[in-house]
Amino acid sequence: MHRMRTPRSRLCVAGLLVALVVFGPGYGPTVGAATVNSVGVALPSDAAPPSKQVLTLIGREGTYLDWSKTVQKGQWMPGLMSDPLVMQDYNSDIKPLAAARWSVSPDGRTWTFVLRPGLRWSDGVPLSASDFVYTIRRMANPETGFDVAWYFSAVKNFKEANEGKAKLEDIGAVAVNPATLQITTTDPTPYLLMLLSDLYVVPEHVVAKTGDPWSQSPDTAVSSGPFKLASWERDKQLIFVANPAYAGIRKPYLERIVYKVGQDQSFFPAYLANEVDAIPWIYEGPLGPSDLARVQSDPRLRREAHIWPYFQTWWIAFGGEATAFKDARVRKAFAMAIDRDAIIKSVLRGMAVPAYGMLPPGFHCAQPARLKGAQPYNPAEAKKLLAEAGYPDGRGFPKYDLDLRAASPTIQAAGEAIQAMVKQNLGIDVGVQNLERKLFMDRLNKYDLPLVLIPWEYDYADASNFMNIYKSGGRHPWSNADYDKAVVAANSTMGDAQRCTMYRRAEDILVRDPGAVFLWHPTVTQLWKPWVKGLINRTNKYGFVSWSRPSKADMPPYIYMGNEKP
Amino acid sequence: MGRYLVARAAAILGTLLIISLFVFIVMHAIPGGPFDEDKMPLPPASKANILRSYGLDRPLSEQYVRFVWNVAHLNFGVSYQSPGESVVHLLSRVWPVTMHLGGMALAIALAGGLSLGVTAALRQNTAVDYLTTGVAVFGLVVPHFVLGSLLILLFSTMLGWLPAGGWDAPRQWILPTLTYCLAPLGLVARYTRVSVLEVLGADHVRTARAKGLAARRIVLRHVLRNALVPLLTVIGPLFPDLLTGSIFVEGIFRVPGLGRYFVTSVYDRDYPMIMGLALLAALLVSVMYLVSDLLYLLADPRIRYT
Amino acid sequence: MRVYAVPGTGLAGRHEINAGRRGWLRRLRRNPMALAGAVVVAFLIFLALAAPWITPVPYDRANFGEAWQFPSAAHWLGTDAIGRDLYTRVVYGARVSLTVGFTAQAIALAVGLPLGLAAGVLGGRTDFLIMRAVDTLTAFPQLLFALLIMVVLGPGLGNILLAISFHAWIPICRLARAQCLRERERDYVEAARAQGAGEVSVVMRHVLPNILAPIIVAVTLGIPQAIFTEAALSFLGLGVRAPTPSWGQMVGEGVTNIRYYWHLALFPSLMIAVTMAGFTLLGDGVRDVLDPRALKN
Repeated sequence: MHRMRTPRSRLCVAGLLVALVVFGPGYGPTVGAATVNSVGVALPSDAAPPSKQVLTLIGREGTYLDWSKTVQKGQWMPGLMSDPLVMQDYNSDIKPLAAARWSVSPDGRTWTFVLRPGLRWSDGVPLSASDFVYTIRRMANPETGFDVAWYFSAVKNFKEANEGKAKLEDIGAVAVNPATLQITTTDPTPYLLMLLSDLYVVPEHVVAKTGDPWSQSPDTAVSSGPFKLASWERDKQLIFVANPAYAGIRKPYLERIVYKVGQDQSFFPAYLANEVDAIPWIYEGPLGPSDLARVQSDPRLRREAHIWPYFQTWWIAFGGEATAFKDARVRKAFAMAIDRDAIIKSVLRGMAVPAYGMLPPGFHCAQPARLKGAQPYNPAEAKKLLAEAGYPDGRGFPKYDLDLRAASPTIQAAGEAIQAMVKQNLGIDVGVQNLERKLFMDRLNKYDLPLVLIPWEYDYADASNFMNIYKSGGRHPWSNADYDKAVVAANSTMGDAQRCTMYRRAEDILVRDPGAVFLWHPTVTQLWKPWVKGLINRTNKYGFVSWSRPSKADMPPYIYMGNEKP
Repeated sequence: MGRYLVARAAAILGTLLIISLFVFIVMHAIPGGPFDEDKMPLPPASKANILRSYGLDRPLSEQYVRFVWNVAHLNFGVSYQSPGESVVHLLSRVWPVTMHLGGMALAIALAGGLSLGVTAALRQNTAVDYLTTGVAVFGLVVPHFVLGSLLILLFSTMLGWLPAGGWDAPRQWILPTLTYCLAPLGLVARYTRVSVLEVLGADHVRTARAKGLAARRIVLRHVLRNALVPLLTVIGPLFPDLLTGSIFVEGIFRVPGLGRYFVTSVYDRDYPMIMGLALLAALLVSVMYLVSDLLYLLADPRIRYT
Repeated sequence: MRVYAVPGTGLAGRHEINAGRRGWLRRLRRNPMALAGAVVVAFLIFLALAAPWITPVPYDRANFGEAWQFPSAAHWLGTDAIGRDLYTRVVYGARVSLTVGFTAQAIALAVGLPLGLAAGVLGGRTDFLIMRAVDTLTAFPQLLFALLIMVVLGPGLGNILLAISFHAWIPICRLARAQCLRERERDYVEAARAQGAGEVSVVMRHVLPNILAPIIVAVTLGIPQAIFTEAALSFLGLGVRAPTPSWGQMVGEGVTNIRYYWHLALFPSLMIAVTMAGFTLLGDGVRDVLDPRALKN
């Protein structure tokens, strides 16, 4: 199923794309008398005519198309309609986007960005540094109720303003002049650029007037990105068209993107019926084990399937002092009673790699091999530990549930696998309870769940994104002063090698204590039709063909429809 | 009669009031509020602000009184799932789709169920009868979520004859309607069969038969008319059932209808929408009972309402 | 005010039942559908009771080396995602389904019958109050209500029963009341009353025995409805706590795998279907048997 074959034509295309990415389409070489699309981009020679440059996707529906209003309930692909200062390219490397260049002050606290000249909104109004300032203030403003405001808490006074303890004007974001933006952080923040790649700028001149609903209607949803909203029929579909006013560096090949709305179970049938060109990645994976088996047994589907590791980690977290898990021996016994490889092989059908630590392989600072033997599967040792803790053969162990958060059938099966292992290896009966999402979070945030199976997936490619979760007072009751110290220090250290050493020290503490049982990192299987071409079919520096950050829409500007599209 | 209708209308209003109070209390008892988010809890300042903007910071009793007051002015509030959209607007957008689907299913279920049932009754204990029972029982015993997936697998994935989902073209209507109509069709067929059998055994029909009237005439004139009255109790509840949609059918086939909101509104703690849906469904059921009582009156002059 | 009549369950008078015990058996034998239904139900009860003795392994015994197997000699119905024997789980699933079906209807009977009788016999204010409660609950959207209950109280068998029973007693109550009203006007009741019998004794002695048949039928037909609702709730992830096997939950997990591992959804669906069919046929049959007039000649 891995894409080993790389035909010559694709290499040529890839070469062309590199040129386009590096120089921007305007300066790209043209091959022969190339067809030009409605926004002036020359289509590759194997592309379908502009009338067929339509990418049809299927996915879930959100409330606002406005990342800085809501992320959890947001409509996906904010990157279609907004150019952040910087972007993560298909290698997850930071590249300039709305900002042409930037500099950092020697103390690592003040960042100065110079905007690319000539950028404008789709209604013709110039894009200005004050739009970025407005966006940051709006996210911090408690009135907005931005649901991941913690994300930007590195920015000076952002957190304080969000909690109503500082004025919005005191936030460390200043428009020096219309083309220059200055961002100040409280502490040196080496990963600030990663955060800023998600700063989806909103149009001050519209939002200040229209308010939150601005992104819901094509009349007011002005865009600074390569596409703009053409229609949004609720419960049905969204249509984006190429933005003719766009003057940035991501001019698209596609004329249109149709995003159909559906529930998860309807995605694969729609793909099989040729109603969509691709299924983007969804949380917990759009394909079930059976669909994977189906894909593996069908040569055509095998060619359309692309697999790559995903920066997501699943683990078991324990309850706090009030539970039997306050005893480290009990936690260790659980860790050693669970056979990761068996779960991956049976339930997940190989669509994951075993997790020995928190940071997924290939992620910033990750070095999973060193932790491989830390909590090995060892039922005999596990039994012994449990007996030492006062529960020989599980006798007298309190009755707990393993709680899952609105789990898909696959994760439900994984939960039942863990239940079976705990019973067979430790003699402990746990129930498996799939809780509805809000109920789960309500109780999790109150540290009210004794045993949970839960994931974290990255927001930005920096170890802090994972490591911060286990700081004291974070998502889980586990608390360790040494861990906190190491993470806090690493967060504001500027040298990368030094940072990674600190994060790894913290990760060692977390795994060996253990504060959690890390189980697996899923791999993504994504399907797209053979006529979906472009950068997504190119191997990145990690060696995968991947449709990176599909929820943010980093890829669509670099996708085109091949001429075999029916 | 006029007084009867007024009394019934008043009773319906009372029912709606009780239901609204009950739902209001229960839904506010659910842990986790509409603006409690996933990864990390909202900062208290933000949350307080949002709650205030939706009036959720007030005492529950005040919220309820305000709700009733607003509803009396036909203002059901704004949905949290589809922010910026009023509940009334949302319902007027999705309900017609569900009524379209449910209406088609209902029509097929009634037409098909009645004819199957009558046929089976007239040919009792023949192959036709058993076949009808088979179809009826199949429709009744196979859950929607299985039937829908099976139909997609068969007609879309394997045969490629019909689309897997969507609601734009008549071709896309076929599978969801089929999934949706089979259970009520089975129900109507079964009860029609029994009801017709009962009437066939009645004295006046026997007399008509003895007099040598043609079978077709007997069925149309004596049997169906009499058999329909008890059938009303079965058919009546089908209307509100089918017209409020099903998350199973609509979810599987990507029908942009009302059905899924019954579930997502609860999951999202979309208080205004939960109230709106409860009242809509309750109103439908109440009106259905009123109408079916009036139909009894028409069908059987011996019944009198005062 | 309102007469609720389910065809064949109530309209015909039936004090003749007491007269013909032997006719009862004869009619049962002549009714193949009812017999089939009875056999199916008996079989299901057998499965539920005998589960530990007729299955090879505990229902939660995972065997990770044998996951995702299609039906074979070793695993008659195949295995699931973690290598549990599907045959075992399907057999044990009968326990949840039958528990839900019987308990929900028992509650429905325990609540609905006395209330219906009270409304029918006492009339007046009692009748009015009970019937208003019935009307209100009838108007309550069932799925929404069940969801609310399940989310407030959390998943689990007891809460499922509560959510289902909340509505299940209504038809029984209505039926009992309607039957009661009808019987009360009959001559033999009048006669009993004339002889000085009190209302309660009239009900217990004369009315109750005569309306029992349609109630039994209604209860029998209510069982598959309850089983179905449990399946739907489990499908939505609000069912019994895993690893306890429930057909609805198995179907819910299986349907996502229907495009390849067909056995996971097929067998539990089949069991739901067979159970539904069994109880429905039995209910129909019981009605035919207890109500000779619904039978042709």
